[in-house]
Amino acid sequence: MTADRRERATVDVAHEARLIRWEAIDHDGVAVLSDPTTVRWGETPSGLAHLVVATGHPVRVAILCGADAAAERALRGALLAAGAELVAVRTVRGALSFTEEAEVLRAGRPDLVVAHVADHRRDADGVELLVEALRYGCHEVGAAPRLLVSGDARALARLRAAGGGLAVEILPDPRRPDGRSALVRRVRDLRRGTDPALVLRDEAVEEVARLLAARDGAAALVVDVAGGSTSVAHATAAGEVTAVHAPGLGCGSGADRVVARAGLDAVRRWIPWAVDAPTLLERVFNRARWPDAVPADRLGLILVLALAHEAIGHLLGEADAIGLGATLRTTRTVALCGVAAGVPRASQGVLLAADALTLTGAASLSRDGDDALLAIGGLATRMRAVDGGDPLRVLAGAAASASVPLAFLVPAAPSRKGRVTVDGSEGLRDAALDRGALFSVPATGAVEVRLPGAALLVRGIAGSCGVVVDVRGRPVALPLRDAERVPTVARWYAALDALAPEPEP
Amino acid sequence: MTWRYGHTSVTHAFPLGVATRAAVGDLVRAGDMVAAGTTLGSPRRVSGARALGLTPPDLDRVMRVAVGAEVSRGTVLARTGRRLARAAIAPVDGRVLHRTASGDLFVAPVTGRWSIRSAMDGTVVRSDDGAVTVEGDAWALGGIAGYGPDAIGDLYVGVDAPLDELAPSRIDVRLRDRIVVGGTRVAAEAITRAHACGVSGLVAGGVPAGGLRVVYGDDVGARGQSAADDRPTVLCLLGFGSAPLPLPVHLGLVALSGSRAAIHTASARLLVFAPADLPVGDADTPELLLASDFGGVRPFESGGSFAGVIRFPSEIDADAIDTGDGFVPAANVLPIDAPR
Repeated sequence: MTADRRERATVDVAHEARLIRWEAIDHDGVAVLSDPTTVRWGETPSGLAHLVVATGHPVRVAILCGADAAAERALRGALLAAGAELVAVRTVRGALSFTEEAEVLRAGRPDLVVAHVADHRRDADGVELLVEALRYGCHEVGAAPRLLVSGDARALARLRAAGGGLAVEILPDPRRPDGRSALVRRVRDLRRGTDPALVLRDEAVEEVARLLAARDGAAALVVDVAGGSTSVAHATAAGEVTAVHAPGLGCGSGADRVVARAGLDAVRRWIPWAVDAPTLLERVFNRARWPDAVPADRLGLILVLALAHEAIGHLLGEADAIGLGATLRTTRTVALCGVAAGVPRASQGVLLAADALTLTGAASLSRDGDDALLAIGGLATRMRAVDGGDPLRVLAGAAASASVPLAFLVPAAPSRKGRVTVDGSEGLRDAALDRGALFSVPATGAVEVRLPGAALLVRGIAGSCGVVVDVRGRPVALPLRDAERVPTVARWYAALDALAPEPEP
Repeated sequence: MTWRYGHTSVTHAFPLGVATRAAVGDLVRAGDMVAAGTTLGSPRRVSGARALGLTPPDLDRVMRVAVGAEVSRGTVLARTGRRLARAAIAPVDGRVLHRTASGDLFVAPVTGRWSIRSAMDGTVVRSDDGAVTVEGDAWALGGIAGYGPDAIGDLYVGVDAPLDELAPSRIDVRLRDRIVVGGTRVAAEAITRAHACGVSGLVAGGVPAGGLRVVYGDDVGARGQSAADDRPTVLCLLGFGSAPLPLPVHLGLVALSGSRAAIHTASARLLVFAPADLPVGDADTPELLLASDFGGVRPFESGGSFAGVIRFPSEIDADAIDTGDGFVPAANVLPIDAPR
């Protein structure tokens, strides 16, 4: 879009079986979104420009690397940022035999294999053997994976030779920023395929984080949980993005994968009443195989929330494992997108964020309205990559109006004693801090909160749920036994009025 | 998916270690072996080119056995020279499985053998070390998930009505080598009993997910789980838990009862090898309804009428269909053929 012409762009945000269609109209260089409509796949609009924000093709990636844990972390981090599906991580420390390594790599059916040698003398022999196992395992098996080799220059020739017969590409060292971005770009290119209209959903999420961070002049976090993908993207005011994406994990088609990774009990623990495991598993499986199913009753909805909890928790756990967790949690603004934004009660989104993100500092929570933020993120991605122009100038206003404030979340250490003071639209209010408590204080708009013993005020934006004070400690601890867990979770739901009333018989 | 007769293909993926496989153009029947191979133990690395004083590309010139061949301990794998001969010798009985870029060889002992049988009557159209694809004509009924190895046998309807559940007491050794249709649901007890009685496979509208975990382990998912080992075979047609079969689907199964059939678990399909003119198909495409708490799937036969947007007990506002008995979300009603 240009500043001096009035143009239209259609942006479709893909769900499992339908698309939410937005039209963006350029008014003097500022984009304005029209009302959304729901369309089916394949209904192409007649607009000038058409974008589809979707997850793209799944790209399965395996890592082969040496004993250097830092290099392995760097590779994992790059692949999490690229939205790749990590199917195998084989290191020279592995105790498997040659044939077992080959079987693991064959079973993973990777599209891409990244082989990295950090130290030629220590790792080259081992990684070369892993590449040989890859070649043996994937020899003449349909579409052979592409092999990306990186690291010590002396080892690259050996890896190329060992991967003979496979398509081999050389990448810069992924421990360096240029190598990392090259790997991310390569994976995303494969995910995009040849569809010129496709904008990857995780790229759009990152752009939303950039826009919100630029708007607030402070770090922003965007959390997106969709049917088949989960993303957490953090941006600083300077536009530096740290993101982790998990394609395949979600509340819909990815529901069974969440259960497979996190465990059924981990999902079940967030449900505020007793439900037996087989019953729950049946519902998870049916949801996974029914695109865009609507949870018409309370259990269905609570199950979706529980799946979102675990999808976010699992992704943040992976971020913690590679040392990114603390960066992601350092934020003053959190925006929820996808399923997390579409829950019927705002307090359900607040509870989800409070439990799953385990933020240690106060943050203003907002949510996306009908995927408008994702549509704006899609436009910003295209503008930055192809069209040129300044996404901040054109789209920051639309992003601000699409972001609906939910609450100002204030976590407090359980050891704090005294009263919390909230100065906001409802005047000056205070409430006692009790260990383990979770409560909200009514307020909207800009608020100032003073915690007992704290010298400074914390400032933020409250929404329909007011100021939510969380004294449960971090991480949120749940009792193991159902008899204690169920009342605890039910109390949290009740504290924020996050549960729909039970229907009358 | 409803019943369809037509030309279709079935791909059989192999584990590592394929030794023989059907060639492109071969005619096969369901149950015929299309590939065989070996499972291999821990391999031994044999120094090849370096021990023989050759560059790696020259090793091929002096190889005495091909990669993939079975060898005995002491077999000369490669050799140079006459009087002062240098040789690479097999250290164990087994197979030469791989030659590295640096000219070394891997020899692994054979620890077992496997074979793959076709789940299709037809012609082999693709064959490589990864898979064989067979194309042919058959009646096909698509499900949502298949578990276990492929199964071949005569089709047998084990329930009297589409709403019935297959009772374990109806399964005995007389059903050996048959594919048994289980109606609304087959529980874990029926699955294990059928396997013990030699039943080839089970087909049902629904399978309890908890039961699948009992039989196949905790890593079982909603997208099926193919296997090559000795396990029960189950084809889940509509959903998990309880899922009565739509009448046209059930009548098709009844009409094809007694015909030779196969369950291809990787593609979650029941293939029946019967004449194309059997009265199986029904022009109507039934619709399915997902329960409001996702607890089951059932045929949606009332038709219903569009009721606009209403608020459901979950407080979600969504397009609804009035079934006469109540409202259901429009998104939870899908044609049986819809991609899932």
